[in-house]
Amino acid sequence: MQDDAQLVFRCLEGDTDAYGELVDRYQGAVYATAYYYAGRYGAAEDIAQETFMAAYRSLPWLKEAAKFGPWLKAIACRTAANWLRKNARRLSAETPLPYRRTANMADLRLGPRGNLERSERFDRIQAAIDALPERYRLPVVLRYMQELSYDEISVFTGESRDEIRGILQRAGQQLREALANTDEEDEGTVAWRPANK
Amino acid sequence: MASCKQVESMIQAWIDGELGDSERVILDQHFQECPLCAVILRKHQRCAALLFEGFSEHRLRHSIRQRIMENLPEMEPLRVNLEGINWRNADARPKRAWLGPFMRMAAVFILVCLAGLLYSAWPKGEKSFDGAVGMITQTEGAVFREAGHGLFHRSVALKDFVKFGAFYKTGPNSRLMVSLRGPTQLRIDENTRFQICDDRKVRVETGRIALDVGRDERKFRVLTPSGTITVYGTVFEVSVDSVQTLVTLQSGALQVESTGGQGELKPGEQTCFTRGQSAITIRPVDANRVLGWTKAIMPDTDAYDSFTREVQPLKIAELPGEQVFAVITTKNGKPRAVSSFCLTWNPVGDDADRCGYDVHVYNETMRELFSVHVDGSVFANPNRRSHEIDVPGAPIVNAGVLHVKIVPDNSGGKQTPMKVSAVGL
Repeated sequence: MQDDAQLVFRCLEGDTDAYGELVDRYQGAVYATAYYYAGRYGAAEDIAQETFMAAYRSLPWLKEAAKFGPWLKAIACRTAANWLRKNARRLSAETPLPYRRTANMADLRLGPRGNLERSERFDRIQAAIDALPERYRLPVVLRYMQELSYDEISVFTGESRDEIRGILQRAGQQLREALANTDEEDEGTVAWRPANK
Repeated sequence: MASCKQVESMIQAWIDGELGDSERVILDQHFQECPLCAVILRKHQRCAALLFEGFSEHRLRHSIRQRIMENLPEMEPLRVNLEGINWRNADARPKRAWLGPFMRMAAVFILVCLAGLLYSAWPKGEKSFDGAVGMITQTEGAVFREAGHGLFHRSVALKDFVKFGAFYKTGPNSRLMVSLRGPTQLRIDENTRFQICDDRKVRVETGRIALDVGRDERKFRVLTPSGTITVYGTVFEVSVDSVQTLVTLQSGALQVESTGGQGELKPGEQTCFTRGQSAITIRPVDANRVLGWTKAIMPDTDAYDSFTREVQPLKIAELPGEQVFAVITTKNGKPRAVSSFCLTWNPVGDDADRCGYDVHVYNETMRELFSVHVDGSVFANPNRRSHEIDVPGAPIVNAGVLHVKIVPDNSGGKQTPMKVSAVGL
């Protein structure tokens, strides 16, 4: 497997497939970042797409090819911020969407009441994450939303693997305390599913 | 064997499947042996499950690669070789191209503003005639005129006009003579700083000045840090240092006023007063000897000609037509009833016609109480120096401050400077 730097150099030589591979590699992280900033407005996918376009346009300006991840993260943050600013007027008049894009099979099975519980539960999760220190939040979203490994998170955020491990350990501790009540209510209904990555 | 604390710090990584094989084996074993840690593990697992479950429906489930690759934009061409360029300067687009014209305009604008400021603050020679009250009729050595804010000094030349409020300073071994309208001759010794307030008022801050004051119906005042000297027409010397003011009278009469009280000087007398002094002391002195230094300063003939031709004939400013006096009717904090008002003036022995005055009396809120007319013949009488106006009806009581306005009537004739006081019961 080629590393980021090699892929970047291939892109610069005009190999668009190499950029496709970079998109594959980072789309989860970029999407989660976009979601983290503007997700509740249903724009995460658009922001992610815009981020990759902008990154491709300015790829020649990337100084250190090996740091493609943090560079991409910076572009994603800027793109999300721009999107929020551009839409600030509309958003201020709009109620955020419930955290759900389309009805899936699980929703249909649970019915309207189940849906409500599910959305309430997600509200609590969101509140717990918002209560975390700023630098803990993105790694948590990357981990739980896209199930990224510590290495993938570290390559994207630019922090070392040990730092990510420490962050997720401390964040996990705080989240467990914050979500203790939810945890008890749902005992037995939420089945443990091991990480599949 | 790992401690429970070490184990707890590794629980998250264990759940996330991010532990090395050896660590995993140690933890697996610990969880079997330690029921407490096993409980904590289960809680962590439930929390993680809750988070995964909560986020699962928001996960990006399909690849967006296709969408992006179909709309891939053109790369921006690089204008410079990035190698060797600092990351901060990576945006190497030439900024000067568009900053240039703007910066040039801004620079020109700023320069013009600064030039204007400098021009307005530049000290100018007093060659213009406007507002002149006198002229420099002799100068010798280092003599400077100061601009109002004390920042600029400019040396003084013969025939410079002297204007209201001008500050002058003489350096060591220098002499200055100023002729004011009147005519009043000021001879200024070295190391003196003074201000010409107007043609009848001079403020001496430090140093020595001899005055030959032309007689006029207006008082001439010399202000010093420790008191005021008032004259009508006389020759005297004022010497001011940081502690005291020394006044020597050669001819005429003058009045000295300081915190210590008032005193009158006769020719050949000297007084010395300081601020905060309790009384003014007067002693005889050889005035000719004291004022001997002034003989060395004689006006430049040409300059004095200019003075008599250009400055002296200027019409003395007319008294303001209308005057308002505030008359306090309390004495020692007690209110007094006012039965009449007294106008006082200094009689001038000329035969000119005098104008009459309308006298209006107002209370504190400027409501008119009464008004009377005083004929011009009252002021023309050389034997009179005061005129009393009775309050019609009952005396005014508890009035506080009364305002008396005197307005000249339109009978023509010269105006008379006067004072107004209230006469109580």
